[in-house]
Amino acid sequence: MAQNESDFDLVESYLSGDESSFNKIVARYQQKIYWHARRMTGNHFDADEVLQEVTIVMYKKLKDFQFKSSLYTWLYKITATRSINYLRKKKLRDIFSLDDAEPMALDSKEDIVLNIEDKEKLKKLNEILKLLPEKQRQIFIMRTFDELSYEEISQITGKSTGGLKANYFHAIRKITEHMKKYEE
Amino acid sequence: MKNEQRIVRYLDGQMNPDEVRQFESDIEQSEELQNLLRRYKKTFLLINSAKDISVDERYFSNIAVQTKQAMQSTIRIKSFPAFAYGFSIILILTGIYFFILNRQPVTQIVQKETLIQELNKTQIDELYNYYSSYSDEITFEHDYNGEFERIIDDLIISELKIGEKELDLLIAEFINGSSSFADLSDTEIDFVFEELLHTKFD
Repeated sequence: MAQNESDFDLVESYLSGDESSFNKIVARYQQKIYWHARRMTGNHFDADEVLQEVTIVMYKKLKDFQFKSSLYTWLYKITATRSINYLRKKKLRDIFSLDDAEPMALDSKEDIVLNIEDKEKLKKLNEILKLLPEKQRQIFIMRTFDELSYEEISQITGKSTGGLKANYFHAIRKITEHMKKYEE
Repeated sequence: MKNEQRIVRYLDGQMNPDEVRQFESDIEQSEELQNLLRRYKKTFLLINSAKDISVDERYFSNIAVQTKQAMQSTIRIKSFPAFAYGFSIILILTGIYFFILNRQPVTQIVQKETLIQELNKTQIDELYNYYSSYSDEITFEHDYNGEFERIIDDLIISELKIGEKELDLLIAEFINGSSSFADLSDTEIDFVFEELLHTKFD
């Protein structure tokens, strides 16, 4: 099968009963979804949960998808919402945790990042991303790592491009200020 | 601030060619701007260094299969008698509401709460409006820029931590294991957050 089947073709094919087309759609977007979730949550375990949630939503809702936006935008919207909701649920679970045990060290457990240097880079990045409020972090990740344009982010989040640019600026400024303090 | 905005626009590729030319000419003439640019470039370098991370590709080989397995377990949860599921949610929410009404007075002030106490009424209102409306176009012009969501979350957590023991006992009566919270819908999560916020700000 041609490698450059369009999203539209794959969705059509899946809706007409070809289950393998769903697998192809998942394969096409799973890394993007995973990495967005991983940078949002800061660890593999939570990113894995979000990826599964998004894939389940995709499986259930794809039949209603009418290409009013691109599949890519639709998936990002689901991923963005699920990531934020996951963090909020997690926060609630932490609040209502019945024991005083320290949270499990999730950074290393069954991580798919194996290279030590890469682990260090991610650790440093997580420290920085944690400085940002969740929604600001999300916009920052979409712009910097997912490499989306402000127009695309605007479609996903429903925010004006002006607001998004201001948001991005404040994120960068905060990170730079933090690095300055760290160096002093 | 204006120079910083220009630098970020420059590094982020938001400037048109004329602006780029003007900016680069300004840089040449200003040592201060050069230093600032150097600092911001360092930030971009650090961020870019974390872009290409190699992973164990085997993880991505069976995501679709894992999804179908996860869906089967979801279906099992959903087949649980609806009334029992609904009843447990009502119990949880009642428990939380009960806790809020009977909350113990604050006896222990931690640093984050002190910070909240230092905010004046207008700032508290702004904080609450920001959080409850979830308006995240962060263009605030004061010292708490970008910190609202975090402060509110910390506040809620601090509030609950104060009555931790009582809360644990209460919740334990209603929940058979903490994982029950994972089954709350987004609307229910919102409800819990809102209830917690109202007890502090209403």
